[in-house]
Amino acid sequence: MLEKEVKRGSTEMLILALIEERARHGYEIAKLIETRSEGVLQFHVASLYPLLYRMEKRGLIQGRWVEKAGERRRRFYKLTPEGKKVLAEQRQTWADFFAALERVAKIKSA
Amino acid sequence: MPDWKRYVREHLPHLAIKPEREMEIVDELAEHLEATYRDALANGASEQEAYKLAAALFADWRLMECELSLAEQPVNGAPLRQLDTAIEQAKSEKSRRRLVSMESLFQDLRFGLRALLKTPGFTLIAVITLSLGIGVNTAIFSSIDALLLRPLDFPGLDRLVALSETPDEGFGLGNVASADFLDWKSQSAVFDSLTVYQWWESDLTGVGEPERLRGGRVSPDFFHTFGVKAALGRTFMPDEEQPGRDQVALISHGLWQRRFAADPHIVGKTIGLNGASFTVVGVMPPEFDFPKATAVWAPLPITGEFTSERKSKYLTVIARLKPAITTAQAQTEMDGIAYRLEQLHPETNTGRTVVVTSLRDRVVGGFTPMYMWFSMGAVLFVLLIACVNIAGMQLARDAGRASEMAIRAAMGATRWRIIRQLLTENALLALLGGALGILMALWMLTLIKTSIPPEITRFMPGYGRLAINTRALSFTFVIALIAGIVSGLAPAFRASKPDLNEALKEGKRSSGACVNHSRLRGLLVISEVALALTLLVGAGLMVKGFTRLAENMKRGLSPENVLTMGVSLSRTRYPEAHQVRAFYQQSLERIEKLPEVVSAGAVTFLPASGGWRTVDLFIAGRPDPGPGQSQSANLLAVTPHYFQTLRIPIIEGRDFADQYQADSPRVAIISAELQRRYFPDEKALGKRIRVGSPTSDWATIVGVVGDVMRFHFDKRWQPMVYLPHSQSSARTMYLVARASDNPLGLAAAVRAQALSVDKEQPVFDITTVEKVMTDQVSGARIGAMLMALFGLIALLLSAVGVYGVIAYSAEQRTHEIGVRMALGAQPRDVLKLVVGQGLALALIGVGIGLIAAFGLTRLMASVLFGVSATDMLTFALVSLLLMAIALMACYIPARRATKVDPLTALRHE
Repeated sequence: MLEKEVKRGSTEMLILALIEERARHGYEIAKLIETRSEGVLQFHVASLYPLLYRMEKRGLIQGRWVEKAGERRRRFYKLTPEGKKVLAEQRQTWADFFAALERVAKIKSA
Repeated sequence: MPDWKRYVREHLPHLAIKPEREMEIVDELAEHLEATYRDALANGASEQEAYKLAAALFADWRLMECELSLAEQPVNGAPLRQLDTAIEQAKSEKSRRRLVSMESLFQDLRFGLRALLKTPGFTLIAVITLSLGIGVNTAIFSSIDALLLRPLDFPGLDRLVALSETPDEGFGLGNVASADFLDWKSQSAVFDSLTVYQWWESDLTGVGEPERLRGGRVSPDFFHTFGVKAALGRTFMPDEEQPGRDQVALISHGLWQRRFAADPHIVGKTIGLNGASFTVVGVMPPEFDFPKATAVWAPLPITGEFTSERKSKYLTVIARLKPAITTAQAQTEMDGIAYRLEQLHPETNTGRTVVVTSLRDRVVGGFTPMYMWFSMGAVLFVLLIACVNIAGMQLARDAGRASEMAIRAAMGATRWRIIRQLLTENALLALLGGALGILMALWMLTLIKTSIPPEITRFMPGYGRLAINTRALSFTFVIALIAGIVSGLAPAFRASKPDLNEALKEGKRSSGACVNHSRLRGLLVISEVALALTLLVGAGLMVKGFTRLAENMKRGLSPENVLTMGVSLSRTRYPEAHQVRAFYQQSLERIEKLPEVVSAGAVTFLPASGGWRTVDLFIAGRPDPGPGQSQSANLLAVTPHYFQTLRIPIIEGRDFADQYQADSPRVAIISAELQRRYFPDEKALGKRIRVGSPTSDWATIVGVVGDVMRFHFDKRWQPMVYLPHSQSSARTMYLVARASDNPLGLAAAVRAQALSVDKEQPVFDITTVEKVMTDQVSGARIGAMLMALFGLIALLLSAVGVYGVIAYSAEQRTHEIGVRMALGAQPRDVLKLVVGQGLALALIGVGIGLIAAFGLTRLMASVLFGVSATDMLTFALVSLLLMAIALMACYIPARRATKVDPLTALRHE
């Protein structure tokens, strides 16, 4: 149960963090989460896009269609100022959370 | 590269959002799939593996749809939290599952509808086929519901029972002696109330034209037993069964409207019934119609000598059981009472028992239940044939959808999921068929209603409720669903097990149309032919039987152009026999004087009308028959010219002469059958006979006439004795008048002549002799007509079905046929191949059908007349007919197959 909650809460932050570096499209986001977490974090596409759309609706990210010659057009997502704020807040929350875990359960945060 | 955009479009149900936005989402998802597919290929996967990998990403489209719909809802502040909660809820396992299963049902329905619309030709034919099957079922179910299951509409019908005494000497309800009834009433404890009625023909006079009414004399608690009250006024009081106080009457709603213009002040007025005056105390509600077709009720006094009458059984007893008492319990108690009465009154009650039956079963009686259940059996056959047809059509169509099924299976759809989808489609089809079937049923009910003459329907319990009601609708719904599932099971199982490799190949159609598949098709043809044959044999026998029946009735006479009407002279108005004779003599003389009348006469019972009177027969010079050796004949009184009018031939001797008087020497005319049976080796002419009792006067036989039917169900001629009316003075007679043409055109004139003798004397049942006869067999006629209709539908459906399956199978074999022709086969050989295979299947079907028909038609023996249940000619003709139809159904596709161009056929792959 906790695992599920943690995963859900963290996904939003992961997405925000990934597009903080540069704008990315959905497929890239999914791939990056999978490869960078070495397969530990993996989630279904059926949840990724709805989550992206929700975040866009809430003004955390902004999508834009980009067309390149010879390729299918893709939608790239970039961070909005509001998103930046939320990302910072969430990072702080998670940092506090890990610090607490470390203090109590002697778990080293990454 | 697969078209991923199309793939997404096909799988993602429509979202309830703006189309532009939806397109964007489709694009984005398609892009994701495409990227996955491309990467997989780049990593060395085969096309198929890459496809599977990509497709597996989006296995749960419903969850996707659900989440996308939620994500796309507008958000701001508070609603956002609501949305989150909604998402939380949607995600909680239970509601998610419910949502998903609801969603998947809707998706199935939506998808099914789309699939049906994609093949409008198939859908149309399937819906019509099913509507035929479902429609006839609904119509027959409605008839059974109205006529057999709910023939009466009284509160607590289940507690109403009829009590009768056996041995039963009459027909239908009745036959209880009045003293026995009084004993039952005082001794039984299982009934809330016990009541009696007696038929009562009465002539209404004093209000315009006289009219003969069907009436009932009833005990005062009659209406209380049925739980009904008068619509106007009151029902009878307990003391109104006392003589002197019994001159009161209740009239039916119909009579009140028809004859009294719905006079609101009718209560308290006086009407004349059989020459006596009765005070109207009330009007019954329109729905109360018991005994059937009764127009007037009056109290039945059981007093004086009737309180000890045990010989003459003339009452019908109806009772209402006390709550929680069963018919069996009532029967047990009545057995005890009957036993006690037997001990007390051995001279009358020896061997007499009481039978308690539910009133519903008693009123239905006759042949109606048999006909109805046979019809129900027949329509189930029709429905089965329709289902087999649909199954065949679906097999053909689903072959074209093999790749669709394969893709679904490849994407992880379970077998059950695919079957469910296909069955949903079928259920949809069947429900559409059911809706159309209701129209068909309405039409059939109208057909049934209009083909039974009103003279019969007014005596048919439940006829008024013959309609499509909610029970019939529920029946239709259930039967449609069952039909949908039954017809879809085999094809669905077939289609749910696709051979992925074969199906996904570009060519789609494989040459060797797999063995299982062709076996299933063979089975369909066989069952279709077998079902149709069984039904057609049944229909053939019914039609043949009815034709025989209709012909038989008219044997020995010529009923065409003969008008008839009944007259019944009451004792009040015509107390003396000579008055009765004078009335008939004068009326007939006047009628015969009419220019259009060829001749006229009168008889006590018309031929084949089902009315007769059997009497003992004594022959002069022979010992009286001993006990158990009954020697009887049917007694009729006739006037001179009766035989001439109906053209019953006088074989020997002569007709009664006009001048016979009551006191002239007694004479009789006998029928040929009586001559054969009782005077086999001698001339009957000139012999003397006594009828009725050994003390009646001797009558000399002056003539022998041809045989006529007494009752249409009689299997052989019955001996008849005709006495001159002048010597028997029967009060109720049927006048017959032969017209030069158009007998009904004479009706008014003939009636006027009868009324000119006595303007207060009503005549009744004005019609033609021919109609009296055909009305008698209207039940058999409608039974035969319905069976013929069902047979026709079955024939049509099976012809279409066999054609469809053979055509499809020939088409499947195009490649093979091409190869054969390329190798030198002639069109003739191809024709032989395709037709031969079809005919072989049809022949097996005929064989199975014959065995089934042989078994099933035996059940029909009791409703077949003049034809054996195993009538060889019918069996043979129906088999030939079906083979001929099968030949045609195979020949057309076979012809087409011979036109195959080998080159095209080989390229077909």
